[in-house]
Amino acid sequence: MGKNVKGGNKQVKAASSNTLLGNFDKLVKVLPLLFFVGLWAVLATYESAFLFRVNELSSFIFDDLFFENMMSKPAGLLYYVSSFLVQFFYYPALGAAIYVALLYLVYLLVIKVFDLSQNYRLLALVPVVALVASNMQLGYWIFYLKQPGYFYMALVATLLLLLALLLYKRLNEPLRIVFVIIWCVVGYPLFGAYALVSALVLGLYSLVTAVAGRKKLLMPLLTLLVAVVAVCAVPQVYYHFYTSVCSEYLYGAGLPVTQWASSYVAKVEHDTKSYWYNIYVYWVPFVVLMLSFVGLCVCMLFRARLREDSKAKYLVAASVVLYAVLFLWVYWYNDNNFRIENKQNKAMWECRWRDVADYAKDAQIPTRQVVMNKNIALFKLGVAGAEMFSYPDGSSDILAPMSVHLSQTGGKMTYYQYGKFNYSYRWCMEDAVEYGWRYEYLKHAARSMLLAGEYRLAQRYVDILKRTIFYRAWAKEIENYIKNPDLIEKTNEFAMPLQLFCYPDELSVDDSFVEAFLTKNFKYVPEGVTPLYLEVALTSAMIRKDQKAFWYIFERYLNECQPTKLPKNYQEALILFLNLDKGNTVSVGPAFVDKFVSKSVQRRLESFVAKTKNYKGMKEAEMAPYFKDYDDTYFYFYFFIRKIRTN
Amino acid sequence: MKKIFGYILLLQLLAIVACSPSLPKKSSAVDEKPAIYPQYADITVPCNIAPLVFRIEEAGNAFVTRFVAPEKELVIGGKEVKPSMNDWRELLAAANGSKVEVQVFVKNKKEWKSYAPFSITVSPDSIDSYISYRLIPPSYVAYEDLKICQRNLSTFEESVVYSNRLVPAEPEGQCINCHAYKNHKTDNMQFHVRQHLGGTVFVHNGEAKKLNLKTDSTISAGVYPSFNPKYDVVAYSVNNTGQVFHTRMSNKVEVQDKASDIIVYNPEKEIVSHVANRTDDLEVFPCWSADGKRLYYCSAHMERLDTSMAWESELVIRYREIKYDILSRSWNPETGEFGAVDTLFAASALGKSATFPRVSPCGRYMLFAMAEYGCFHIWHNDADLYVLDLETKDLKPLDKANSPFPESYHAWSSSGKWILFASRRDDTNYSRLYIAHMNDDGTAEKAFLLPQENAEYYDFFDCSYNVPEFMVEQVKISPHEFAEVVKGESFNVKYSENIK
Repeated sequence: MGKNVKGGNKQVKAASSNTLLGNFDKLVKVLPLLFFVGLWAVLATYESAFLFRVNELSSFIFDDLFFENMMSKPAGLLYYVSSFLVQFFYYPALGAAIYVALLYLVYLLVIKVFDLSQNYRLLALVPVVALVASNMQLGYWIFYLKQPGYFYMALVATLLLLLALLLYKRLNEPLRIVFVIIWCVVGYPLFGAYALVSALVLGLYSLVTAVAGRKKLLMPLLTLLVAVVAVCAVPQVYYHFYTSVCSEYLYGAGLPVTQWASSYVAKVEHDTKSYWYNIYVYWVPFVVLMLSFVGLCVCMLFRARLREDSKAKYLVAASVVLYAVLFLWVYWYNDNNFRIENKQNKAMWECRWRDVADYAKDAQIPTRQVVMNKNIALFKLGVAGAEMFSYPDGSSDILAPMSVHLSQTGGKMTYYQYGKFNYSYRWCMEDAVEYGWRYEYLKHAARSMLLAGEYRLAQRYVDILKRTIFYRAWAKEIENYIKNPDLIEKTNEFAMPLQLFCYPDELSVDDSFVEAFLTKNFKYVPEGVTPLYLEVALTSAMIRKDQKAFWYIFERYLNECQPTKLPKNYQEALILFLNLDKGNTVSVGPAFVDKFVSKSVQRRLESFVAKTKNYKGMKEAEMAPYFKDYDDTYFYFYFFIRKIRTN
Repeated sequence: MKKIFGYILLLQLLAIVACSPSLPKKSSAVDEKPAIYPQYADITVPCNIAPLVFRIEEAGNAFVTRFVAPEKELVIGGKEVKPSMNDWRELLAAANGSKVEVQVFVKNKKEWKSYAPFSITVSPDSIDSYISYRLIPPSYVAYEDLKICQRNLSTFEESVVYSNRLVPAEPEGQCINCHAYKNHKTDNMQFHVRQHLGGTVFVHNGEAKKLNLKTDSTISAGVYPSFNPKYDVVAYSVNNTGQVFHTRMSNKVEVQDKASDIIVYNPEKEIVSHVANRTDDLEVFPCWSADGKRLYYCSAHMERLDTSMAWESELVIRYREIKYDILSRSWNPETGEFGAVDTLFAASALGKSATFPRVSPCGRYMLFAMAEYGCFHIWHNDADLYVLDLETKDLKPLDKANSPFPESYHAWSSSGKWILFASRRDDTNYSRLYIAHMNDDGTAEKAFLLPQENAEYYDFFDCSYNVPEFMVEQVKISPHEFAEVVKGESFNVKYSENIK
C-alpha cells in the first residue's frame, strides 16, 4: 500500500511534470505563431496607412538605369532587393504578409543555424523583434531617410547572414577561411556594412563551435582573425573603385549613418520631452540585432549545461516574452497625429474627402498637416465656411528629432490642391534630389505638370510610373488626360486645383514653410479670381486672424459671389470682427448684421463674451478648458488657439 | 565528335541567319519620315562620333532599319536601332564627307510600310575626343549627389572627374560647379566646391591645390571662370546669387545676382584684382579673346529705385528689366593694365539680354545666349544661341540648332568646327547635351543629342547636364586625388590693384 502510495505520488509528480512540460512545449510552439499572426494583423490593419506611406515613399522601376544607380554604391543589391519588396506595401495586407513571412523565415533559420532545442526556440524571436523595432520606430523618418528600401534592408541582410551560416556550418575550417574572405569581397559591394558585420559573426561562430566542441582553437582563431582583417581591409580596397562613397562612410554603407548623427538634428528645439528626440535611440534595434547574434553564438557554449538545467528554459522563455513585449512597446512609434496624417494622405489619393475631414476629429492637438488636410477636404466638400473651425485645431509639436517641414511631408499635396503646381513640382524635384525619386513625388510631378499644361514634362513621369507594378494603371489614367486634355476640366478631382489656378505669375520663395507661404500668398487677391479662390483667401485671413485682410476680402466676396446666406464660420468671424472693430474702420447697420448673421450665432457670441467676464485675470491658455462648449466656433479659435507654428 | 561540332556550328550559323534582319520584299511607301527618338534625322555628325542609337516611335510589331553609305550597307532589326561599334565605324568611314541614308520599315499587323528615308551627313571634321559636364538633378535649391564627368565621344565611356560623394558632406552638403580648362587641355583646369570644405580646386601645370579666392576686397570667391588661352591668368566673376521661383510660369526658376563683379587671378603670384566693379552694374560671365588680349563680359545696368525695400526684393519685382549687354576691355599682358570699357553688343537696346559669351578658337566668332531678360538663360524658354561675327558685327541666330526651349551653356570645340550646348527641348525640364556642326560662315547645322548606348537612356536619367566643355584629353588627376585636395587646407589668395 505504502509502495503503491509512494509509487502513486511519483506517478502524480511525473504526470504533473509531464503536463507542465507538455504545456511548455505547446507554449513555445504556439507563442511564436501567435506573435507572427498577431504582428501581421496589427500591421495589416492598425498600421496599414503607415505601410502604404512607406511604399509611397519608395520606388522600384523596372529599368537598367535604376538598377545601375542602385549598384553604383556599396550595399547596392540590398537597396535593389529591398526596394523591390517594399512596393508590395501598396496593398498593406499583402505587404505585411510578405514581411511577416520573411521574419518567420528568419525565426526558422535562427533555430536551424544555432541548433536551438524545443525548450529554447523562443530565443529565435530576439533578432526578429529587433528587426521589427528597427522599422516600427521610424515615424517621421520615413520622409527623411535617404535609403531606398530601408524597411527590408536589415531583414534581407539577416536572412543572407543566416543562409551563409547554414552553408558555413557544413564547411571545414580551412574552407571557412576562404568562405569568410569571399563573403567579404563579394558581399561588401552587394550588402555593405551588413556583409562586414556578418563576416565577424561567421568568425565568431567558428570560435564558439570549436570551444563548445572542445576542438583545437588555432584554425577558428585564425578564421576570426581573417574575418577582422577582411572587414578592415576590403572596404578600403573598394574605396578606389567607387566614386559614390567617401572613406569616412565606408564602414557604414547600407546604414543611415549620415543621418542618425547628432549633427543632423543639432538645431532642433522641442517644447516637449520624449525619448524619440534622442537621435541615438534609433540605433538601439540595430545594436540589439547585432548583439542577438553574438548572444546566440555565445549561448552555444552553454548549451550542454542549459539542457541539464530544467529551470533555465522557463527563465529564458519568460525573458524573451518580456523583452519582446517591452521592446516593441517602447519602440513602436505610436504618435496619433502621425497616424492621422498617413490615413488622411491615403484617403486624399483615394478622394475620400469626408474621411479626410473625419480623421482630423481624432486628434487631440493636431499637427498643422492634419489641420491643412482637413481644410482641403472641407473645401472639396464645399463646407469649409461652415465647418472649418469646428475641428480640433492647433499646432502640436512633431514627435521627431529632426526638423520636420510640411514641404517634405504633405506640402506637395497641399500645394497641388491649392493650385500652386509649380511649387508642388518644385518640392518633388527638391526632395527627389535629397531622397531619390519616390512614387509619391512621381505622381505629384505628373499630376501638377498635367494641370499646369506642361504635358511633355508630365509624360516623362508617366513613362517612369508605367514601369512600375502598382502605379501603371494610375499612370495610364494620367496619360489619357495628356492625350485628351479636354477631359481635364470635366474631371471632378481636378476642379479645386484648377479653380485656384487663376492667379498671375509672380516670383516668390516659401523657405519650405508651406502654410505660412500659402496664407501669405492668399492675402493678395488678384482681380478676376474664382469664388473658390475668394473663399480660400477669406479663410486664410481668418486663420491669420488678420482683420484688415478679412474686411478687404469679405467685401470682394460679398460683391463677387453675392451670397444670400453666409456659412456659419464666416458669420462668426463677421460678428466677432465687427465687435472687435467697434465701428472704428467698418461701419454696417443692424440690417446688414441681421441679414448675414443668424440670431443663434449672435446669441452665441453674446454668451461667449459674457462667460469670459467670469474668468477675468486668467490667461487664454488657462481659460480655454472652460470654453470647450464653444470649440466649434471661430470665437474659440480666435481667442484660444494661439501660437500656430506654420511649418 | 567532329560531326557533333559540325552540327553545333551549323546550328549557330542558322541561328545567326535566322536572327539577322532582312529587308521586307514588299512594302507600301509612306510619304513622311518616321518618328524616332532621339531626333537624328537630317543631322550632321563628326566622322568619329559614337553610334547614334535611336528608337522608332511608330506603332508596329516588326522593325527593320537600313543604313546606306557609299559601298556599305547596314541592316538592323528591332524598335531600338543599335548599330554595333564596328559596324558603325565602318559605316562612318564609308560615308566620310558624304551622307548615310537611313530608311525605316515598320510592319503593322501583316503589312510592311517603308517610311521616307532621312539622311545623316558625315562631316570629315572630327570632333574632340572628350567632353566633360556636371550632372545635377534640375533642382532649384537642394543638391545631394553631384558629379563632374568626362565622356569619350567616340564611345559611350563615361567616368567621374570628381564627385561630392567622395567627401563627408552631411548635413551641410557640398555643391560643385564651374569646371573649366585652358585651351581644352587638362593640365590647367579648375572647378569650385561650395559650402562644406569649400574652395576652388585649381590645377596649375598639372598640380592641384585648393584656393580661397575670396578676399576682403571682393564680394565672393570666384564663380564663372575663363582661362586666358595665351597667358597665365584666369578671369572670374564674383557673385552674390539668389534664386526665386515662378508661381506659374513654365520657366520655373529665376536666378539673380544681387551684386556681381569681374576679377582676374594670377596663379603665379596668387593674387586677384578687379576688372569691373561698378556699383550700379551687374558684371558677369567673363571670356577672353582668342589672342588673350581682350576680356569680354556681360553687364546689366540696374539702378536702385526704391530704397524702402531690400535690393534683392526690388530685383525680384523688376526681374524683367534686368538685361545684359556684352562689354569688353583690352588687356596689356606686359603691364597688366586694362583699357577702357567698350560695348560690343548692346542687347538691352533690342530689349534683350545677352549672356555667356564664348569666343571661337579662331577668334572670329562669338557665341552667346540671348533671351528677353536675366542672366541664367538655361531656365528661360525663349533663350536661343546667337553668333556675332567679331569682324563684321553681323549677328545671326543659330536657327537650325535652336529650339523653342532654353539653349545655353555652349562651348566651342578646339577646332571651332563643332559646338556643344545644353538644351531643355526634350521634355522642357531636364537639360541635355546637343552637338552642332559650325560652318565657316558662322551658321550651324541641325543639332543632335549626345548619343547614348540605349535609346531610352534619357527617359529615366534624372540629371541635367550643364556647363559642357570640350576636351582634347582626359583629366589626369583621379577623383580620389581631387577628394584629398578638397579635404585639405585652402590657400588664401591676396588682393592687388594690378594683376601683374
